[in-house]
Amino acid sequence: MPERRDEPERRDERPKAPPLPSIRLSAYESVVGEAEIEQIYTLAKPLVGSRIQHLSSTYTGGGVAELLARLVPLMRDVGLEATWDVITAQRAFFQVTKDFHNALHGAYEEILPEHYSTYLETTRKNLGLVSSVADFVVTHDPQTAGLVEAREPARKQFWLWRCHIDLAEADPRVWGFLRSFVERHDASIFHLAESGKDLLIPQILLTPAIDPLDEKNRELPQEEIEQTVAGFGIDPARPILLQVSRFDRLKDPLGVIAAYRMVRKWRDCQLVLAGGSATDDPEGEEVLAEVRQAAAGDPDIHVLALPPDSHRTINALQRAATVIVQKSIREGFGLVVTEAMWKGKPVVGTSVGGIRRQILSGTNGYLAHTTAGVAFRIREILSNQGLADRLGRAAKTYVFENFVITRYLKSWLLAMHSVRSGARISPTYI
Amino acid sequence: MARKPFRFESSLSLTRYTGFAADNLRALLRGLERVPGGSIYHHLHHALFRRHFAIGAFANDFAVWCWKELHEEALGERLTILDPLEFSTIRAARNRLIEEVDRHLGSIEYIQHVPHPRQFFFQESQTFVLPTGREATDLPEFAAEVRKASPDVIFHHFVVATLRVGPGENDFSVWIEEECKKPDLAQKLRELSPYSVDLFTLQKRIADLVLLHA
Repeated sequence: MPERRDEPERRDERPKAPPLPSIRLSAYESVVGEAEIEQIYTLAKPLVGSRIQHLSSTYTGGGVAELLARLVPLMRDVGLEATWDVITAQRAFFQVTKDFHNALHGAYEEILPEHYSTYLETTRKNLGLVSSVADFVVTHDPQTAGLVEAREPARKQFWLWRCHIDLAEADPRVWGFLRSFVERHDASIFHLAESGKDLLIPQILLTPAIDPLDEKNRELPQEEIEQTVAGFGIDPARPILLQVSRFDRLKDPLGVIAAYRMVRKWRDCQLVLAGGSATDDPEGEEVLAEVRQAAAGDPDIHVLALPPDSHRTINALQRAATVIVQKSIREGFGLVVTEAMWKGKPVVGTSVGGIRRQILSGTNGYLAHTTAGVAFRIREILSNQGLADRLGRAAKTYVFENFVITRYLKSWLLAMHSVRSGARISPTYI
Repeated sequence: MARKPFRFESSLSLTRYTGFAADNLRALLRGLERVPGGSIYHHLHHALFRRHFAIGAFANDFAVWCWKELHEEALGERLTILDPLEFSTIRAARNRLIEEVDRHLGSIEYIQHVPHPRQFFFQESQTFVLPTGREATDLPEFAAEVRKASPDVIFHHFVVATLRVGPGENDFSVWIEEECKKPDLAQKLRELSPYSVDLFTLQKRIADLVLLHA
């Protein structure tokens, strides 16, 4: 597998938008039923022709880009004029926003005045990106929140800030800086209430979702799964523990290795750490090197640095895994957990962010609080095939009921109706 | 054949965080006194949507939090047994919740605090009502439509209708009694509790019952 080499040193030119998948809402009827699809068209009808512009920091890598790559075509399919644009920035800006990201997740970061000036300067250079004709402008995460500077009071335009990260323990310096931008939007959107803040604008709650028809989630032939696994030198006949995540300290890949070593004292297994890094994450290479060093000398640890379009490969790895681990220290929602659950796999996740919302411990997976706890639960599942099957079945049903992309689209349409109606609480008739 | 057809609507909710959170029982009481009525409504009724095959019985969000996070089992039990359909107004529900929590606070010596992720986050629902384009003019048609409907339709006409049409009442029973002249069937539907089964089972039971009496 080729290693990722597209880290942007500079990005002075506007990134080229990748071709978005051609997705039709009607294709999901076989998954969610006719009534659900009809309801979405009814909701979209009053919004047909509305222009909605999504603004983010990258087209590839990470959950935000993946979600937008599905959401934007679906919005177009129901009649919205949806666009997606990405800011132009140099590496220094991404370093600053990475530090902001860590600080907003509660980690200690040295934040200097230069951080703020770099952020403001890049924001200023990108103000021209904001569409003057859009009816709705959505800024995603801290990287693009500052673009609200381009908002003109005279223009009838609704602004939404979509926050994909958990702000519960946000560093007050960074949050104080960002808040001034956030509160100039008409509404904010968070995954979960516990990630929100006490804000002057409405805080809409909208959990993300997976696309069951995507390359990443669709059923695969058993032959292909086996070939993929064998291609990486993994033994399909022995238990496989898997964590899929970009190489990021907040995903604690070293903690996963430590948990695997604890399990190995009791049960035979292999560990696969698979992921890439987002183009807006300059720390990725450094963490990957640390992980490789920690794994050195153990042929049963497979560290796979995958290109951002390895959706089918990841799908195959997840389907081949015996237990899937998500040992995040902080997490926004954790869509990778949703994907694993959709494949009917038992997941052991740490009790943080959206993982808490997805795993009902003991029913459709296990939540753990420490490395030892993760190791204990993995060992328990490896020792009991009946338990693994029961957890996996429950996991799949739970995702079907709560986290499928059609539901996400529906929530977005509701959010648009909500800001248009002034976010009143009395019933709104569509 | 009914004179007026039954027009099926569905209601969808968008959830919002109110900014109020409670990390102990006293803070929960303060929240119950102050949060918008939409938040009381959300936490009492919307747990029905979050019900899952894994959860044996319906419990509202307040009860679950007191039980699971604060380990106040006695209070949790008392809140669990509250029937949301018993209250015809949000004010009545709010007063009852306040009464239960306040009484329990008077009986305990130590107030347990929980860290941030385990706090109670008061949320509220913004409701959107939309037509489904489907209607029924007689009972067999009605049963067939109910069977095909999404859970949102059942929730709108059968569960929260009580806040619109009166205590213990629902849109289905009103139509069946007034338009189809079947008061016994209407009464049988009133006796079905949405909180004893999940929305999918409820949907099936309504359709079966209607077909049986059609």
